[in-house]
Amino acid sequence: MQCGFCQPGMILSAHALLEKTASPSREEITAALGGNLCRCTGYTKIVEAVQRVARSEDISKGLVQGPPAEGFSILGARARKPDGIGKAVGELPYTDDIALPRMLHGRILRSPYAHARILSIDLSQALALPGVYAAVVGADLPKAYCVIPWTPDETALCTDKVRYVGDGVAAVAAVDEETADAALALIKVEYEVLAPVLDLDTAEKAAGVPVHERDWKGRPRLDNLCKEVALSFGEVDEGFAAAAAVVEGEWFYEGSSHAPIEPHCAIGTWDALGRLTLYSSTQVPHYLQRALSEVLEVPLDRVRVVRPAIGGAFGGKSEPFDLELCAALLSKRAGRPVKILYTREEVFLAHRGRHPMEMKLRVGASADGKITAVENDLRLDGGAYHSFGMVTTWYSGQLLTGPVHLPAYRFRSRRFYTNKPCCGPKRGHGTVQPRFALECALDELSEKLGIDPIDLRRRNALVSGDETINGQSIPSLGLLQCLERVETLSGWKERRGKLPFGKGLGVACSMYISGTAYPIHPTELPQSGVMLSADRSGIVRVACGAADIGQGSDAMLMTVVSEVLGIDPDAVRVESQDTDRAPVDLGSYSSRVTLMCGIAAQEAAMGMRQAMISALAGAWQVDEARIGVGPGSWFDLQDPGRHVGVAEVLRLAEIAAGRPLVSAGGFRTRKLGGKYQGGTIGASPAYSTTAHVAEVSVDPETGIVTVDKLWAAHDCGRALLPTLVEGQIEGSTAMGLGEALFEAHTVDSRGLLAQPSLLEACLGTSVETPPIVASIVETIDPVGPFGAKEAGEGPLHSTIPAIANAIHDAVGVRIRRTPFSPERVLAALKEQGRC
Amino acid sequence: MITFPKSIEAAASSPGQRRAGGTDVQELRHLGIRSDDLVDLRDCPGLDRFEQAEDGLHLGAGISLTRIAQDAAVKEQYPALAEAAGGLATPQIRNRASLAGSLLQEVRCWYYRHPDQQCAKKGGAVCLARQGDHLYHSCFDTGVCVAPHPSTMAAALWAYDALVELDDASLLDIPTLLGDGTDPRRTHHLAPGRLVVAVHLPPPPPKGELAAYGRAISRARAEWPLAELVVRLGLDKKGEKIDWARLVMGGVANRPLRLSVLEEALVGQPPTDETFARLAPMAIEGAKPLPMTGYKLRIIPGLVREQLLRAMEGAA
Ligand SMILES: Cc1cc2nc3c(=O)[nH]c(=O)nc-3n(C[C@H](O)[C@H](O)[C@H](O)COP(=O)(O)OP(=O)(O)OC[C@H]3O[C@@H](n4cnc5c(N)ncnc54)[C@H](O)[C@@H]3O)c2cc1C
Ligand code: FES
Repeated sequence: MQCGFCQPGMILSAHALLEKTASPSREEITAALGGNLCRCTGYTKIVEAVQRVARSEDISKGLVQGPPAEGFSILGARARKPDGIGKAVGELPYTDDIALPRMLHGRILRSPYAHARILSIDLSQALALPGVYAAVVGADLPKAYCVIPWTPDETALCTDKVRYVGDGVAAVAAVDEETADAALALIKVEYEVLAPVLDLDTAEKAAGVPVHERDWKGRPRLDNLCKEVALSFGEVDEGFAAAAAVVEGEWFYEGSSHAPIEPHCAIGTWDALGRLTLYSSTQVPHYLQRALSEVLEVPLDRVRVVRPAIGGAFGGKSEPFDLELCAALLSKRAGRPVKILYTREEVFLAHRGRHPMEMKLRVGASADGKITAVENDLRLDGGAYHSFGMVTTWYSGQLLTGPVHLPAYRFRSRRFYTNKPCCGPKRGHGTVQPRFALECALDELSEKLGIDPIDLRRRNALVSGDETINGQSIPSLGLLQCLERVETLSGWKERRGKLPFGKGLGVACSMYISGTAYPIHPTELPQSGVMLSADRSGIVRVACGAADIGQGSDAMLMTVVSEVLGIDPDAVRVESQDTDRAPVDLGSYSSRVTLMCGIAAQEAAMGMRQAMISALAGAWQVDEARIGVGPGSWFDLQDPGRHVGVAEVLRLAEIAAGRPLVSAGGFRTRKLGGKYQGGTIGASPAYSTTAHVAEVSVDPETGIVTVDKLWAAHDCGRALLPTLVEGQIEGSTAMGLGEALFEAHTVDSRGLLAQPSLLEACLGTSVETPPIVASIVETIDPVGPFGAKEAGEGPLHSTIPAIANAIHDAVGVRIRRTPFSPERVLAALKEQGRC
Repeated sequence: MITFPKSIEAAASSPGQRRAGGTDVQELRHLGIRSDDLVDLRDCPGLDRFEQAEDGLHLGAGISLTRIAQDAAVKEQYPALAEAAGGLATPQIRNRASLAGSLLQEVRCWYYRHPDQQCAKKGGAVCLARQGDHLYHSCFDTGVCVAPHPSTMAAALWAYDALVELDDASLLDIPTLLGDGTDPRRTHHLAPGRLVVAVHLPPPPPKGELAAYGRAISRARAEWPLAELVVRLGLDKKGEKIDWARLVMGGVANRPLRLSVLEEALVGQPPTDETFARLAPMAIEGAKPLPMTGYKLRIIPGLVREQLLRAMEGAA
């Protein structure tokens, strides 16, 4: 289980199946779960769980389910998540489960036009409706904000213009949602409709009224260019001149949305002292706290953000949203708590998903398959606002320089504003798209040069300790191991090229960051803090603001502390939900949490451990070097018969200190990256790497692509909790599969969102998600906590090009545009003369 | 307001929207497309009728699609109907969805379902999909609205010449119930206030049949197909020639299409892949794709051939 939001439904469907069919096959299980969407797991672990129940496996009730890695007391063990059972039985509240006394419900009026000026808004009739307590418009919260502090270009509700169909115009709080909806219908808005900018060409031409007519400094703006970055490394032209083969083309990656199964929800409430508490389904409580403080003009210390359990996020909840700001303001105006829950359509409108990206890419290689040069010209369709756009633009170029070595590399990346829902960071932020293009081009190169595609990647592989052409140093990198793993597991050597027409195998690889050295708000303060305090009952509290969005950061903190202190994980209580109670962590984005919070937790735990060692050595009157730690109890290394429970050690340490035992740890950012402007962007303390092999069937008559199996090998440094790492690999791979085959987030010629529901968004179900073989590669990173690095985003990237390359192997056509839908595959087959 | 009438008469005389499984009704209400009173059919006796009568099988309007998919009698006598019922939507939806509701559900066009959009089906001037995004819409132009008819069961019941029994005891065949597709406002022609109480299936052909249902779909579950087909074939005594054929296609026009020309062409032919491959393209005769739906014409012949072959598997 990950976020757990789907679990009760899954359990009911599984129960219904097992009542009728005692030992169901995999197909029977996936069919029975076919109507229950899960966005996190790729269904792999869920199917396995049903199989285990069907086999009546004896499943222990404890948190730890298996032996640890060698030399450790818990690290590497199969373990339950501390929140697992609570979520499965529906006990742990998500934001919408919370109901405060006297609570009102808010709704937001949204623009029916893609681009229009607001001439007037009349709230009088809405306010007169019985049951309505407050109504607000953009002018009530005029302060512009953005998660990136340099580019504030949006307001809680539109003040002058609406910029996409669905942009917020006014908000109402009433006794219930129905009344609030009725009030919205009574709001009169006068618009002056403008011609919308709906595609990249129109955006670049900048013929009509620009999406934003002023920049964030108030200067007039004549075009729609939001951010442009161009950099060049090494001798690119020489590289192409020396190439024996060049692949060149235009690739297009379609936008898609995160579609967490839990819709965004927020509750605002003010206490009698004028302090705001905001409950929200957010993955960045700290940035939300800052935005609330700035926009509502309340000092930071009077804003408290509570993050209940989160039902999935994937980057879609990593910045402030209109509902949070509106719930806070409406609550202030109404003098009562106000809850706003997005409808499913609003989740898709709030979006901040994958940028549609057009890539003109050129790759050259020598006759022996060594890449000589790469050039990429990208255009990003950013939608109506900036969001993380500046970062996306940088990432789209800066993060492509590994895991295959690019000796010469040039890119230009331009992000444009359009009148569409705003794009932002979706799992694998900024790089999934160019990675798709590059990995497909590498496949074409290997075909041209007659080199096996896995070999081609091997010949260009970076290894631990290397530095990329743009100056990113890579402490550890297991690309070669990952390639070998998927090569062996998939039977590549024996099967590739020998499958019948319509069946194919494809490979691809990728690399991703484990956090960024450069935080969003430049600061000398640590990016992450952990506070430990021990209680005489024998528990250790771990306070850390890390947002557990389902990925298991609470479990990670629990495990690190439990390992260092040799304490039973059940005695470790993680407090991560409340900004009043836990030290700041910047948030769950950029795959930073395991590395940064893990290091902070390790440091804090080492501090406490030292105090405990001293106290015990003192009590036993022995040298500190003689104290052995855990699991479960502490002992005398020279006299193992002499041992004592951890609770007793904690008690001794508290007596010795004469005060409660506390300890803090932090993650401090080191300077990393190249010495040029932008050199720090994409510079990470550590990098993960992945390789995928996909096996597909393509029906040449219908163009329907079926993925039969996926093998994914991922180097996560060290798997602190292997089940969770596998879960991330499986979930990422499944999400990649959806983007490759089904998903899109597009608008029609008037700017209407064409996928306003889960039906149109086409997330993969258990039926079309094939078996995913997730394999962990460990390179024991020198920087990460116990050698760990990221696993949550990297394993998405190479899924998509692996599938594209497998389609080529199956039917001989290259598809350079996602998703690989039947009509595209048919068109390619026709164009490329394959049928 | 919701009422739970205790008899068919009471239900028929209660104004408001009928709710059976509610899998479509609830969504339409949620989106604000319908907001009238609800008449829930839960307590109406007789809607769960399952009768083997002299004139065939009578299935109550409230019977679930899961039951139709799994019932031994349906599977034996009306195999493609059972296959269609088991092949649509998801297990969870099929458990809830009723036979009548599946026939009378609304189109899934996202313009129609958009709360702020007035398409032709909602009384607006034009079909917004026709001018807009219609990748999943019709490739046969049978009327103003180009949303494909949503009902898989309608195609299957038509292929079995089923009759729909109303609360006033009148019987309608499927083409009459659905109309010819020219009126964009009507997805079906059930008079307001009328109630469907049952569906009558005529007795199976004495010499048996070979049948199949299949769909072309990129995502296996939780989605309507790009095209779907119900096939029924009768062979001569020796099994060498096709005696009669029944093919009804869905997902391609604003009502299911009976492929009469292809049916006639199949009669008298040997039931071989050669025949099927040669004649399958007739299924797209008369098609008039929209700018974005031309690809469906390439899919259909493959689907037709595949389902004819699948039907023949039953002969082996
Ligand atoms: C994810 C998903 C995928 C789907 N895929 C398919 C598919 O591939 N093919 C397909 O055909 N369907 C598909 N469906 C639709 C599904 O089959 C219908 O929603 C369902 O059959 C409706 O049945 P119901 O009993 O819930 O109807 P309700 O929602 O209760 O009613 C539907 C309509 O029928 C009317 N009605 C119901 N009973 C009566 C009665 N006795 N007399 C008069 N009027 C009545 C109601 O007033 C309403 O207008 C899918 C649905 C979902 C959610
Ligand atoms: S665990 Fe299934 S949706 Fe998150």
